[in-house]
Amino acid sequence: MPLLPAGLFYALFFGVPMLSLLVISLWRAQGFNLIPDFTFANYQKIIVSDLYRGVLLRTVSVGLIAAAIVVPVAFTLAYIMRFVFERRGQLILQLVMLSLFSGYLVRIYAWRTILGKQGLLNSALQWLGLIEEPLEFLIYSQVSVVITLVGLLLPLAVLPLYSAMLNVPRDHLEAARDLGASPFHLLRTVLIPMVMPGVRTAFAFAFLLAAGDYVTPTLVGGTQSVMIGNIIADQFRGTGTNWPLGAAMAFIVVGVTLLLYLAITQLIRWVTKW
Amino acid sequence: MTTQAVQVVGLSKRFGAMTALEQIDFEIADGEFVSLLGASGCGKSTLLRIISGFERPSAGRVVIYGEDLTDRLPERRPTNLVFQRGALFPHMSVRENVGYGLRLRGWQRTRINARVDEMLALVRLEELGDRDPTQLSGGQAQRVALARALAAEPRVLLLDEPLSALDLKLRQQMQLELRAIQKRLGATFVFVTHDQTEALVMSDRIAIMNAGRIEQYGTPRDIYRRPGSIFVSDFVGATNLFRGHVTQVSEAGTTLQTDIGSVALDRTEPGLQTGQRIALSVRPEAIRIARGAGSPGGRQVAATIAEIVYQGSSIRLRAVVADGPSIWVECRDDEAEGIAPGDAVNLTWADSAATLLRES
Repeated sequence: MPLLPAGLFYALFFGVPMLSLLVISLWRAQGFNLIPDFTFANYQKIIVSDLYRGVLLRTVSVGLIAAAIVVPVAFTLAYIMRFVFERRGQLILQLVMLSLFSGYLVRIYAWRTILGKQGLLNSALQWLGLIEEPLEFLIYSQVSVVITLVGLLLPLAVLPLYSAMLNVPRDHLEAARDLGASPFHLLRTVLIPMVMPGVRTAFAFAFLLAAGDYVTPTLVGGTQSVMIGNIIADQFRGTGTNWPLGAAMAFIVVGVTLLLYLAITQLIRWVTKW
Repeated sequence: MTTQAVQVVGLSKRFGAMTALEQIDFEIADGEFVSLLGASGCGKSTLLRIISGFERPSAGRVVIYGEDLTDRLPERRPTNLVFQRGALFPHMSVRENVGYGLRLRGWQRTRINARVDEMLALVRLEELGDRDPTQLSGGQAQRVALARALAAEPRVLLLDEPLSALDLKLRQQMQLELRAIQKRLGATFVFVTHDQTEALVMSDRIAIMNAGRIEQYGTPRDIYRRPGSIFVSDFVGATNLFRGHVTQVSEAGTTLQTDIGSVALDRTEPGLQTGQRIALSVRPEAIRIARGAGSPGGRQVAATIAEIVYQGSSIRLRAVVADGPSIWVECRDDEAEGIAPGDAVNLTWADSAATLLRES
């Protein structure tokens, strides 16, 4: 019974919009008009199109690369905060939280000034004499998209990992070492299994948000960095809108990312199984 | 000569400006059950953590079975530690917990299974191997922790107040069980506790710790009967401390002036001098109680009963000396039959029951 309000909320604000989007994905668009229908033509169009498949593949790989960088780095940071700094870890957490206050767009623009042709990084490298010409690939490229996404998502991934580690008493780590575990075995057989929910959540944040982002590729990406989010967004606004096609793309993205998420978390569990 | 299982030599530990351990020297023999007893903050846990390898000493060495292991990492020491709250891995079953150290050593599965069975039988938990640690009671969890720590046959087992979270009945039962297991295995146990009864019940020897030092190291009987310092006599068991100074020392004995008046002892102790500040320690159960005036010439203290505390198997009486301190007496219920608060009594004790302690 106590679940009823939560269930209602979920149904109203998640179930209904998703359902209406699902219905629309089966309609047709004619000019600016939506024609109710029951067709899988939109899905078919996406699947057979090399362009859309290519963008989807790029989106998924950017998401996976970002997550593959974010999760281990966030894990290390959370470990240091919890077990090295102990009480002062809370202070570091506040600083991490503070960085989130500066806002999403501001942080993307900040990365632009760091990675740009005349940006901080290139200037510093030139000043140090390590390079003569600015590194072109640092901005408006796949690399800049990944770097920026990593920067954006790192604080978010630290939160679930840190809170999971707060539930791991130091005694358990010491017990493992005392029984003969090397640092590697400690990580694999005790720490990672004990913080598995946090690892899953951190991976979900990093992967799903990176794969779903469309502002970062717009602002720091190049012509070859278009992600599926950009194409979906285009279907819902401006000229050449096609709601049914956009809705179908959204569902394909949901399906693909969900499958990948399940596959990867299963893989992590399987790899750490001992 | 007996083999020394653990030798601690000149050990000191400082945390910043705070000194946790100061020049500790002591030895534990092979197969011995030794308790480190002291109040919280006395350094007993730090000493255990240094033996297990989780803390590094600021100075001094730790030698285990002749091998200097001061710089050895905990995972490479032949010691295992039983934690205060068990520290069982929640994502493993009881069996997996017990077999954890053996798997790390690369034992064959069948050999691990046999050893785990043996360990679970030792702690009488054969039935619970497939349970999760969360489904265990506090006493069961500590038994599993013990089995896990013993599975790899450590040369020295270290126990950090493993019974302190259990209720009294269970604690008493576990004390005897732990002692029986130690005897059966002939293993060397080092047990940290703040509970003096626990230390007295289980140990071959007790090291009483205070402010980073070992105050006294001896058998439970030694510690209880012949405390070496005022701190020890006060910390282990209840006692009456009569403070004062020496008024006369001769071949025949010693006379003291204390807060309960003049007390004569039929012995003297080496180095005792007139005027020296001392305390006389007499255990409550060593004091006999008699109504009215006693025989003249005997060593006795006149007092008035102020309070009687019924404790079931025994009773405690508080007697007050005129213008002096309270004296606690413990006796069987029938020995104090008919005595009531306000009664004048005489308190007597054998000279041998009184321990003379020097004020530091």
